[in-house]
Amino acid sequence: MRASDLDDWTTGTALDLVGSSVDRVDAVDKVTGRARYTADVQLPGQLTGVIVRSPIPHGRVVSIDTASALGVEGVVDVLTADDIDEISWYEDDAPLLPGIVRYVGDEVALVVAETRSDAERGVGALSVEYEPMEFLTHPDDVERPGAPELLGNESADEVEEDGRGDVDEAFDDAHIVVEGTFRTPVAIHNSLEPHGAVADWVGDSITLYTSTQGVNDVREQMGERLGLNHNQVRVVSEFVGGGFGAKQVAWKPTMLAALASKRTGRPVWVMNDRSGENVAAGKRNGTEHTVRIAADPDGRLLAIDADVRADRGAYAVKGEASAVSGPYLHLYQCARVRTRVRRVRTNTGPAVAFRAPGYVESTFVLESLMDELAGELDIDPIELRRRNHSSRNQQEDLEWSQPEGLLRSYERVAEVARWDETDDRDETDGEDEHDGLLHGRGFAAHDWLAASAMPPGHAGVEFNFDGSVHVSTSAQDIGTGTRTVLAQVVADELGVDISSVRLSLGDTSTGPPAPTSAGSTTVPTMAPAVRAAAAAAVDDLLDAAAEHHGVERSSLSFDGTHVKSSAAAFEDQPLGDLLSDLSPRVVHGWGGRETIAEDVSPRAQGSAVAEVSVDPLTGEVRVTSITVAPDCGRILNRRLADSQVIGGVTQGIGFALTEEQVVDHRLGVVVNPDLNEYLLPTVSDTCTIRHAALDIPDLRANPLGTKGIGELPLIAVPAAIANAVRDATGIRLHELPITRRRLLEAIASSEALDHESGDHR
Amino acid sequence: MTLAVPTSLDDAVRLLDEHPDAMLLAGGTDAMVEINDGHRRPASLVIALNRVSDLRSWRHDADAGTVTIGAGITYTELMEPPLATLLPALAEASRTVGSPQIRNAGTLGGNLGTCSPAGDGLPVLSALDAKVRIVSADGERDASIHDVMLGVKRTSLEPNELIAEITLPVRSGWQGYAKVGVRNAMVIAVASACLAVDETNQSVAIALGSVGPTVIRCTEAEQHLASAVDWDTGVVDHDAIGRVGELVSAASSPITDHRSTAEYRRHAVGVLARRLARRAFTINGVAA
Amino acid sequence: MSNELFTLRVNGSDHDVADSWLGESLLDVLRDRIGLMGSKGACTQGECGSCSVLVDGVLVCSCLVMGASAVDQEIVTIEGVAPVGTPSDVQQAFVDAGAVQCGFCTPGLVMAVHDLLERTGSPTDTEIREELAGNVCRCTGYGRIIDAVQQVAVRRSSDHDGGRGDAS
Repeated sequence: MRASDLDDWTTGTALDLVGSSVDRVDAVDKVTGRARYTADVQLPGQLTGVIVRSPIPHGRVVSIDTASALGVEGVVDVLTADDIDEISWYEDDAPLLPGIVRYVGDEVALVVAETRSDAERGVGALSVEYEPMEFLTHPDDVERPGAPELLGNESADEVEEDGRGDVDEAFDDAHIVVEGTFRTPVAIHNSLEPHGAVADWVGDSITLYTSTQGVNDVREQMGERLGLNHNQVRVVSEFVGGGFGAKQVAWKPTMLAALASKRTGRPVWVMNDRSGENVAAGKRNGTEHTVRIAADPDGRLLAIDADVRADRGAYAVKGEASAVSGPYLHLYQCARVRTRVRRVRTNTGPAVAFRAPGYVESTFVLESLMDELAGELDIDPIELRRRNHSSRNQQEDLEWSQPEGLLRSYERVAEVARWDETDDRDETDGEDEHDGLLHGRGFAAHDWLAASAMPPGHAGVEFNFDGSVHVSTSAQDIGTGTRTVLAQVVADELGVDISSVRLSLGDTSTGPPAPTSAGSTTVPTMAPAVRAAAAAAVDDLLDAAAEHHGVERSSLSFDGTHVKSSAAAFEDQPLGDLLSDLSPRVVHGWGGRETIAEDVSPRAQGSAVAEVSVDPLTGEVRVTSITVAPDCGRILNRRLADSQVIGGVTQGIGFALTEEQVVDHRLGVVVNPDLNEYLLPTVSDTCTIRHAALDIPDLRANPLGTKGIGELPLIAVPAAIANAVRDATGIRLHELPITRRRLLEAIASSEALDHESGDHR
Repeated sequence: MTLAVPTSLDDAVRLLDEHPDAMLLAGGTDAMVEINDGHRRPASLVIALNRVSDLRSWRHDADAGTVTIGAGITYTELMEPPLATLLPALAEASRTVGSPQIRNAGTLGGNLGTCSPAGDGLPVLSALDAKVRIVSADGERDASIHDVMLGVKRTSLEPNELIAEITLPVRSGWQGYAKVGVRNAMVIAVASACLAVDETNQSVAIALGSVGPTVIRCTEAEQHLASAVDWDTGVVDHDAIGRVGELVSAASSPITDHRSTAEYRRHAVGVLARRLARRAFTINGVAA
Repeated sequence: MSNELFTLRVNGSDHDVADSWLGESLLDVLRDRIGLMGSKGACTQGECGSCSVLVDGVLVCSCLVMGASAVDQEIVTIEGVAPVGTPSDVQQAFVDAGAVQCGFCTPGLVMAVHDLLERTGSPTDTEIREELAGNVCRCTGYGRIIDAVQQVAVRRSSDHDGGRGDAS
């Protein structure tokens, strides 16, 4: 059955589970430590591989002396470029183990040994000779006139332009123009489980246990490069310790494990360590935006002009800064928009999509400028956004699937954050005015593009002979709760208890094709698919019952426990009895989502309010509360949705205040590739986080009206925090993260300016 | 490599004398990180100190007015009464160290042995003019804390020497520790300060961390503050506090690195000193 | 490589460890030598808390303990906090409160919460934030974890009161 054949589930159906806070079905496995992640896989005879990484940012690998490493007790094999036939990697088709390394951390070799400490000693013994080459790790240096052209950097060729209308004209006679240059940092996903795989090559087939957001994509990518058919590659990812975008493709550890397994004839385990993870497994691009917006006296936008540079790193992966122009193009009603995005290559690790790629960055910039505009025109920040509301995709001239969603978000977020009651609460502690904390609040809106589906997504639903239900699909649960909400949907469609529903997930061998978990699309794709499969299984059940009992098919119905008939002679039959009668016939159904909405533009927008207190003497910013109202459509499980919200907001706090990969540009080395110096938010850095839930089924997006929530809660948070800091201090920071040092420097320089102008307010 | 787990100080000292290149493993919070990262691969002998009972005890000598702490006492133990009551600044510094897991493992002796400029216990030891008992097969010696800490991760200990215990005075008068980091928890100080008042001698000690190659004492600021205090009432003038902050900033000698800038550190350590002074004394002349 | 043998007492059973490099962390010994995969490794520097275990009743990061130095000590891992099939009250509260997402940090957090509630029966919000700061979670944002801690504290104190009531 196709998902498009489903009714909209809003009329006539009593939903017991969908919408309620069902416990996560795999929670007990996780709290007891029983859940098996890739790093936990231990197969008989398994070897461990440790990756040798380049210590220099750019240079030629002159020679690798493997003999000394192979002489170390326990070392079984050393894999270098000489051992590999023409396997290319990344979208640049660079060699898997390159002869010219492009960044500190680039993969050079794999040492395979009986144990990890043996392998590490092998790495220590391995000697690699490099011939260093000139390098550029800062995009400013790449763009400096006369800079050497490295890494095929031809910036002019990589500019992507988009937009509508005559922008320059609008700026000539605008009432007001607000502009600025803003920077966002390189941020690291830091899934607690790093990237890696265990490869087990047997005969002409390989099994890959790997921590990934997309078992099907990994199968395709690995099969293509290894010259294997899809049915010779099995990819298993039962439990995934976080992804956030970085695990949406196959990465080198997976391929290195595969090749090593083939050579040694034994299973091989290769996981990044934290430092390898933080330099070589993807990052959010660092970006620089020079943006100006023009408005009329009422604050209505006349034009937006955005020039963005994204540092993509040494190689192109997938999804990096892909949508950086999105907020400029879509968030507001505006007849004239121009976006120019240029991607610059540097001798740093590759960038890859990170939770709302491009959007988090541009939203910080656009919403900082909107906040300035509101201040300049003395218009309430939310009122300013209302005046600029857009109900349609102006680029494609299609209505949003939910034209009012963003307006509803403004209402809810203002209500829950008590926006109209919490203005201006600056206060001091009374002891000393200079020690008083400054309080502020900020608002930001956001857009998000992916909300309909990412087909193909297929699933099978099968009644076991005892009446319990098995759902099979190759979708994976990367920690979001896919396993749970899909079980809820199936149980509700069948009318059965959720405890009788089990899913096989995360294995290409057990389920039909499903999408990579990215772009908040798993639920909008797979929830309709499993529901269609469940509906098809009921059809099959009733067909079989009609034939078996010789009654009219149209007289039969299934209520979750019994098959019933309106025909007089028919006695209600328990499901289990019927299935035994029907045995060996198997009752099952197949469902798929193969299309996306075409007559509307699916959208999931939202907004956030942040409250902060700032210590003006140390620059410490404490976020005291965040309220977000993401329009994710129908909420399938409130508790899981809340959990995604709290987690996403917390990542936003990190991106706003502490997270930043720092490179020593003289040496080309990342100085904080660890959790000691790369500062993730701890429980002490979080605050009251409120989910101002909307729960408006968006039935034009898909038949379940659900749009996914993964990226949404994060997007507006850094902007809202920056606006709150502005409200508290009067300082507009143009660079994230808002570190204590940066804020204090900005306060000091603004005080110096005030002092010069004699202003002692 | 081999691992020795001695249970007495004599055994530990003898092992170290026989193997001067041995690696000492106290709480492991520094040493194991280096081993895990492969930065350090102990070749011969590792001496684990966690079972040496002599290092795991402390005593209060009420007559001498001192507390002597075994080098193996953990931050967690320093945070609990009666130690926390006797040495409140050390307890406060201990509370700012990492997490419960780190505080349960990390030891005061390990903190001094590593001698990082950011070691949270060290400004307290400096402000209280700690005496360090150092032992070796040749015997034992007492050294002033100021002579033990030489520079960034550099002490005056000989390869065969071990920190046995640290003696601190029990002072009457307020004492405290404060630091600024780059996030709210689990963080290395970018600037830290300890202020300890000695009411008996009507003096004040101020020591700074993370703003120089090792801990810095600010004698000028100390004297300025001590002379500005009305010791009968514990009142000090608002302006004097401001001056203390300036003198502390001037005494610091910070660097710029990826965590922060020299300017920020210099400024912040002055703010910390002012705030500690305000907690220590009653302030007169606060602007309304 | 050293073939020296040592024995660790983990969750009440003795485990002989052979063929281990003696410098290996307790975490590596637990996982790679003894096969207890519940403790997770995510940073190798005591920053993330995923490897938290109890050694002689004290909560530590097992990545910062040299495995061989833990001989003659009682080690409790996530596998040992409750009998198989009967989750502890803390584990159950994590399920009930929805304090779990990807689950990779969860075993370490469960250990840390057990330890916290042993030491402090009714921790305040501030105490919870201070005491769990050594356990990094990248998915949940911690809110539900704080809820779970509070749920256990309330249940334990009401069980305690209830027990008194029955006795009287």
